[in-house]
Amino acid sequence: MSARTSDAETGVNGDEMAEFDLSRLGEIPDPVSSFSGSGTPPPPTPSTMGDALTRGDMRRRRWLAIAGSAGWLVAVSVALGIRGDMGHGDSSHAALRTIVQVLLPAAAGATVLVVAMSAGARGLGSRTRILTSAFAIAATIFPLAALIGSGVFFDDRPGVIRAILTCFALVLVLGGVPLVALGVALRHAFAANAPWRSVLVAGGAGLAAAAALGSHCSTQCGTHVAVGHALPAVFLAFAGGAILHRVTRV
Amino acid sequence: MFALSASLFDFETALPAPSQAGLILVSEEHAPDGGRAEVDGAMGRYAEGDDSAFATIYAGLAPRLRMFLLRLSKSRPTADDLLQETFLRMHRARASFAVGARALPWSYAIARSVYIDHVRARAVRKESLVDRDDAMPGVDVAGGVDADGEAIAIARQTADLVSAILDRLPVNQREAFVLLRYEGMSVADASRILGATESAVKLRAFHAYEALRKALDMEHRKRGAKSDPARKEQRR
Repeated sequence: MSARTSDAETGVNGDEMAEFDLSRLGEIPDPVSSFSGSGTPPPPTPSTMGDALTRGDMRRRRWLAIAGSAGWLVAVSVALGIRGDMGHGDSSHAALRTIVQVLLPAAAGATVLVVAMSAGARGLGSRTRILTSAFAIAATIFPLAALIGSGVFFDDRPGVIRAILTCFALVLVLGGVPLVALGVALRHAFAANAPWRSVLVAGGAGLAAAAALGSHCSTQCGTHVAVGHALPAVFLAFAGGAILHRVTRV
Repeated sequence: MFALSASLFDFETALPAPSQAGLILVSEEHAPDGGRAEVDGAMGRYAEGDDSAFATIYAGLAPRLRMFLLRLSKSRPTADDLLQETFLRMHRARASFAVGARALPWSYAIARSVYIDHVRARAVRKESLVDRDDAMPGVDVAGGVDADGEAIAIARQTADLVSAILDRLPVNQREAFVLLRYEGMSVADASRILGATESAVKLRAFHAYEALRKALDMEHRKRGAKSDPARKEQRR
């Protein structure tokens, strides 16, 4: 028998699978039932297992990471200067740009962080489907809204590519700090589904950085926002998530 | 944007009572609720920093986790090592145990993570997953004075066969099957532990079942052919 049993090999079709009654698993005998409970090794003592955080410690660390990250992003936004086009021109366009370039990524970032850090119904985090859906929605809604709602689709003035690349790099730098802070706060926090939950945490950091940059960068070019602000957040989600899950998994 | 509720940071989300609707099978040796509340409560206290709760947690979880690791690793010394590592990681991660959560699925998720790391480490070292020297023997069938010798031999062969087929299955199928069939987990719990969707878990268990069923049927036919003297005569 091949080690890998694909659908084709086992002759499984959708109907067969749908009709499968899981109680039939009981037909397979248990090869190790006779060993139950015999000779369980003695328990280690907690004092010999090293220091471990308590819930109170963890709560403080998380608050500190969130507050520190928010403080960092606000400080950088203020230092760079708040965009000057908000009070000028058509106020409805300015409001739309604020929503699309600042509030939307901020809300999406907060949402994915909540989903990633949620205990879920069984204390093992949100369902895989919810995690992947949250990521897919956050990763697509911001660039799409940016393309549609920023003003113009593509601004072909000279230097636009350089401006996009500068913003791309700025989002990575801005998002790197919250990513590290959250990585420290969430060390050994995810017993299950650590890869997806880490991708969401990193994506949340990237989206928060994109929102902070959106409060400074006074572009009306949809492509600039999609490629220079949203794309690095998605990149950070995957690249940061790949590293972060080594830290966050138990 | 970071106006997250305090509950998020300490996982104090009100957890609903675990659904029993998805419960599939419970191994005979594991009572479904035997001491569960006590272990869950102890785990909650342990997460708050009460080290004295550890003994209760170990007594409640260690036998089941050991069986789980034994079923996956097929080696008693390895299972014991992995058990120690599991409790070490549980200690390290105790702060992330959610208030009101169940300790068993959480500890299974950690044990599974420990086993996956063990598999990866072995793959890197290009070692076999089962140490042949300490490989688990077949099932010990209670053989009393009246025990039928042939029945014992058949049971032992069957157990060895199941063990061998499980060994050859991909890890994701094996762990899904073991959790549903032997550990008495519901599909919902197993899917959370494995970090997969419920349909993926069912499919993996189904594939494992199909492989095992085929092997057992083949063995049964072979045995039937051997014990049928008329057929033996025909072959001659």
